Amino acid sequence: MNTIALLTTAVFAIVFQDPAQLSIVARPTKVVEIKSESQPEIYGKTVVAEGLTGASVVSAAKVVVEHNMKFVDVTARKSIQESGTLDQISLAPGVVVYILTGTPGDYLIEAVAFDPELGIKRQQIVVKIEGTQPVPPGPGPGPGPEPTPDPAPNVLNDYNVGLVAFQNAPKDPALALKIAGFYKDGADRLFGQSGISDIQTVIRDIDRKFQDKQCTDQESCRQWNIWKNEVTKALAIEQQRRKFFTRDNWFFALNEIASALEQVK
Amino acid sequence: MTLERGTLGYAWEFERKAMLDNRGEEPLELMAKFKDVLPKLAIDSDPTGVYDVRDQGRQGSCQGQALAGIFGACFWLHTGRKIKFSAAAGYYLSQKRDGIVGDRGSTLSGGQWVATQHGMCIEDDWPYPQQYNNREPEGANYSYKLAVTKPFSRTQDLLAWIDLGLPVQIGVLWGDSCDREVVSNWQPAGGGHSTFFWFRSKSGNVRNINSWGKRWNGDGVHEWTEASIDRAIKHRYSTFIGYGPAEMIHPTPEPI
Repeated sequence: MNTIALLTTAVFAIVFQDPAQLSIVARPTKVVEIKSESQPEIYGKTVVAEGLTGASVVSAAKVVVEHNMKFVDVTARKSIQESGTLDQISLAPGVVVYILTGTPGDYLIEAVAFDPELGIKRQQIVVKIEGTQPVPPGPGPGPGPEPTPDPAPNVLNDYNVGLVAFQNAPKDPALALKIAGFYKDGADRLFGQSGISDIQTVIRDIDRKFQDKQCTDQESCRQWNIWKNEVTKALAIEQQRRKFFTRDNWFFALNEIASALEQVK
Repeated sequence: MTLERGTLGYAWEFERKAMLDNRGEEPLELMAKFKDVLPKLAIDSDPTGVYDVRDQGRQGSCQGQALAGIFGACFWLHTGRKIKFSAAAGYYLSQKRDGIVGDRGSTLSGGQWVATQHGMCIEDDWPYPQQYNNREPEGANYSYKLAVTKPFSRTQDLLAWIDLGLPVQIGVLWGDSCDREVVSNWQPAGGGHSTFFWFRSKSGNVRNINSWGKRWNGDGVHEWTEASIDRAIKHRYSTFIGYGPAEMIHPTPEPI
């Protein structure tokens, strides 16, 4: 897929003046995504592409990073689990230009630069990709499909544990929030937040806290135990699917379980 | 307060700086591979939360102990898992590479060869013996390898490495100035000793993890000021190299 930047609207900028210079300018824009077999060529307002099968206008953002450092890297994240796609469209000395595409919403653009003389420098900026989030189909007027019992359209599921955690959770939001806290705390400890720990200890601690939880009744406890087995199984399957989890993977997977539980009503 | 000194064992007189230079990557280039880690590691963490301080006993195995510790640190950084690596492999294989016979220590260049070319094994495969015994066990799985820097020549690069949460193996002359809770005025005296830097203390000093047991200085760890590091890094018999888990090679671990 080939992307061409066409027009822009509002502008956000951060500029810093010191020996180590790193600045980001990001602005919402629209781009034309062209599906073609060959690299498109632009002649004035005409685009020529062999094997052209489609073109569409989509919301995006243009990101310009200016620096005087030796190494620079730029990332764009909408959430812990969701990244945007940054396509580098030009590179001049000290200036790198990207087009950011992804689902609509706010993205945190982070630039990190290194230089032997100037050290490390970081900058961040938030830019919006315009548009509306896809809305889950609800029951409309007249006959239609039966509503699903547990629609979970916004549950993050990059590690294939979010949906399992959401769909198997008992309707027990108070305890769900508490258990979410066990997973969040564990994930944080893998990065030294509130203490530092290894994943074996984190899992043991989650298990211990889970065992010590106070259920509202016996049935609720039984359902939560089923939930735990399903989540543990899903985690093991995902580890095998990915070969193994890195520390980052563990962080995101544990947070995926936590955020799924936070949506239990 | 002066701390009790344990056994040393960094054979600085056998160190091959040229080999360390040739086989290591530029610190800044290797650092670039770690900058995308998200979220950022809290670099004032207590390393004993994920690493069990070792005791080399009466053997001159400090370099092997530090190397095994660095493998543990890097494996945790990479996978979040805690595994004990073989200090015996770190010491005796380095010695073999160094051509050093008997319990007379080893070099960081020997350790670098183990870490990057021969490969390291876990403690279960080659347990640390009570007394010097370099007999290699059969069937050890040496499939753990790490990325390594050239020796640091500038303190600011070493500190940038530490501030990314990455460990640094050190080989220095260890005299009275080192037998302190905080090494604030390093002096080039004493025999050679190898340990590893990992994380900073709350005060901002760099934590140095020793191999003289958990009771040494309370938890087996003391601190170095930046000024001391700056002084030591410039000394001809000092060696500081950074290890990192970028493209770390290891067997596939069982799911947890």
